Parts: sequence; C-alpha cells; structure tokens
Amino acid sequence: MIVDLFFAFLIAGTICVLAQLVFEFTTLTNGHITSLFVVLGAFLDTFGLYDKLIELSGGGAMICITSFGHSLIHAALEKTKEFGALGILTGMFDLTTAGISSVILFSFLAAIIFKPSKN
Amino acid sequence: MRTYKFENAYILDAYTLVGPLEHHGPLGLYYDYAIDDYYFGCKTFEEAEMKMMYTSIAKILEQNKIKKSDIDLFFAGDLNNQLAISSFNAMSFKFPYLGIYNACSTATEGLLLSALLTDSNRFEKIMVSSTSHNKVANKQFRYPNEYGGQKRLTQTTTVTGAFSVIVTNQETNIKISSATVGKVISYGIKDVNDMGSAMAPACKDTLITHLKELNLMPSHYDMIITGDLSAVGTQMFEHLLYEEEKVTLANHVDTGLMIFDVNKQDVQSGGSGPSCIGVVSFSMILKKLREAKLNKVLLIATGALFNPTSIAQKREIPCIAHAISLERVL
Repeated sequence: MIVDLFFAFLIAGTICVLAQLVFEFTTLTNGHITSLFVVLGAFLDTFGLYDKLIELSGGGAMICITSFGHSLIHAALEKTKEFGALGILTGMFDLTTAGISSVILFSFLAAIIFKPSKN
Repeated sequence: MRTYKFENAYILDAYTLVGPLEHHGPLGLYYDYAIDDYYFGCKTFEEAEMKMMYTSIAKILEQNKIKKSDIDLFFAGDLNNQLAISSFNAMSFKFPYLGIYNACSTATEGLLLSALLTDSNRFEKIMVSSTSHNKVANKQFRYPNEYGGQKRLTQTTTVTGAFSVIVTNQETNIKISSATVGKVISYGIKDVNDMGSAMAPACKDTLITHLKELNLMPSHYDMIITGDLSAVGTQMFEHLLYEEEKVTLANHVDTGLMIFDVNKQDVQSGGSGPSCIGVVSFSMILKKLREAKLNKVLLIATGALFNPTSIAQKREIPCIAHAISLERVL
C-alpha cells in the first residue's frame, strides 16, 4: 500500500508540477491550461499510454483533469470496435456521463444552499 | 493642445466609501465610511455595489445640505456591463445623467468633463461618482471567485469602493486648475494579467504632454499621483520616463500601492479600479490639501480599455490616462 501511495503521489504531483510550470512561464490563462491538460490526457490515451499511468498509480492519474481526456478517448475507441466510425460519436461521453451529470447535480445543490463566497 | 486651464472649477466636497480589505489597509482611517461585508446587506454583489454608490451620493448631499434638484448634471461610471450600477443610481436620484466609461480612468474623466462644463459657468453643481466592487469586477473581467483560479503576481486586485465628488463653479479652497485629456496608446501588450505594464506608456504620454503644454517641471507639483499602475506598472512607468524622456520623478506615488499594504495583504501587485484613485485622492489627499500639508497635486488615472471578447480574440490592450491637477487656493 505504501508503494501505491508513493506512485499516486508521484504521478499526480508530476502532472500538477507540469501545469504549474506552464502557468509560471507562459501567459496562458487557467482555462487554457485546463483545456490543454484534457487534450494531453486524450493524446496519451490515443497511444495507450495513459492506462499504463493508471495501472502504476491508480487514483493518482485518475483524479487529475487529464483523466477526463483519457475517458473521452477511451470510450470513443471502445465503441468504435463495436460500431465503427459511428462509435466515436455515440461513445465519446459513455465513461464521462457520471462525471458530467454529477457536476450538474452537485452544482445545483450547492447553488441552492450557498451564496457566492465573500473571500 | 489637449491641456485645459480652468478658472471656475472647484471641489465642493467629496465622500468616500470602501470595503473591508481597503479599510484594513494603510489608509483605513481616512475614509468616510467602510463596509465590513461585501454584500452590504444586499442579496447580490451587484446590488451591494449599487448601494455603495447610492450611499456615497446620499451622504454627500446630506452633508452639504444640497437638494437632489440642485445637481445640474451627474457623471458616473463603473466596471459593470453597460454601466448598470451608475444607471440604476441615476434612476434613483433622478439626476440629469451622462454615463461615462474609461475603465479605471473614469474617475478623472468625470472630473475633467465637470471642470470643462463648470468653467463655462453654465453649470453650477455637477456630481461625479464612480465605483468598483472586487467580486463584481472579478466576474466581469477575470474569473468568478468560486472558480478558485490561481492568481498571478503581476495581477492587480480590484478595489471595493465608491466615491462621489461635487464640482462647482463657486469658489472653494480646492481648485481644479488644469486637466489633460489622454490619447489611447498601446505598446502591443496582450497580457491581461499585467495591466500595469500595458497602461504605463499612456500614463507617461499624458504626464509628459501635461508638463510640456503648461511648461512645468515635475517638481511644480507636491505629488504626482498615478492610479492604478501598481507595483509592476510603476516600475515600467518610471523606466519608460527615464529611457524615453530622461525624466526621473522624486514625487511620484501610485494609489494602487497606497491603498493596500502589498507586503502584508494578499493583493498580488496592488489595487486597481476606478474607485482606487478616487477613494485615495478624495480621502487622504483631499484632507492634506485642506490642511495645507499639500498645495498642488496632479492626479493621473490610467485605464485599460479592453473587453473580455477582445482579449479572447487576442487583441492588444488599448490604454488611456487622463490627468487633472488639484490646487489649494485662499
């Protein structure tokens, strides 16, 4: 378990350090960087590399935004095996549905309960 | 010539109101009123900002026993889409209203327009107001606070504050003696997180034009007050002045650095917003002018005239600076 924790910390930490370096040395905005890392995750998954990171670090690679790009491509490729090119369109959001729906649901609940922060 | 001298433009009175962060800043004791809650008892931040401007206007009228109907004209501007804050207040007070927008230089724009009009003696009392609210401006120009995005050290923090000034053609002890209208200038800077550097060239241009057209040395003024270049922009401004004009200023201060303690408060590069130069100038500086601790000051307010769409479309940031000089008379 200690080894798992170590790799989770290492991989997630490395992704965050990379993003911080982009933030420090370019004028890209927070929105640009988030999108960039989604694309990066998608790119790595296209070549089957992101799965290796997940195998190695478990949650470490799963909680970063790169994992969203990975899920998009993963689901699209999965469906392509079944339906051909049409699978790209029908499958893209298969794995991310839970994520997107819960964002909508929890944002709604939070908006009912809280006011925007004063700080 | 874009510098004008005035004979009949005086400051009757001013009222300043600030938010909690400004209240706890170095000039906290000078302001007329401070709110300790960004909501100011309202449901939304926008409503709070409206109430801030409303309060500053209501208080200045009350303090000077002036009726609403005595105000001949109302110049106001803020950082909201389509000047909503100013327009709602103009509706409440039923003043003849001209809304103005020059981003953070709206403060001096309003004052110089008022001075031009009272100077002709066709207007007796003109109200100038401006406001900015940190949470509202972040939503307009940056990210909403809830987004939680990391801030850059070159970025400024929008001041929460409102001020109202009454400009009159009747003699008082504070005179608006001259004003210089700025030109829109850009050195091609596109980084929206470093507005100080983008605004520095416009600030330099207005200052040099003002001094040349009136044939003055910088030392003519006890203080040359810029607002809001902040830490990064101030360096750039002084650098440009030296490199391009061979001028060094011994009497320059920036309100973006005066309003907050940049080392102790979490405000990145300093303060900004139309109320930044307004609340500093019409609290501490006005007090010192009245007490004869200062005699002549030059206020140069700088504004970055971009909008979020022009930034998204990768356009440069057009900048402007308007100057007015305040002088103690009598």
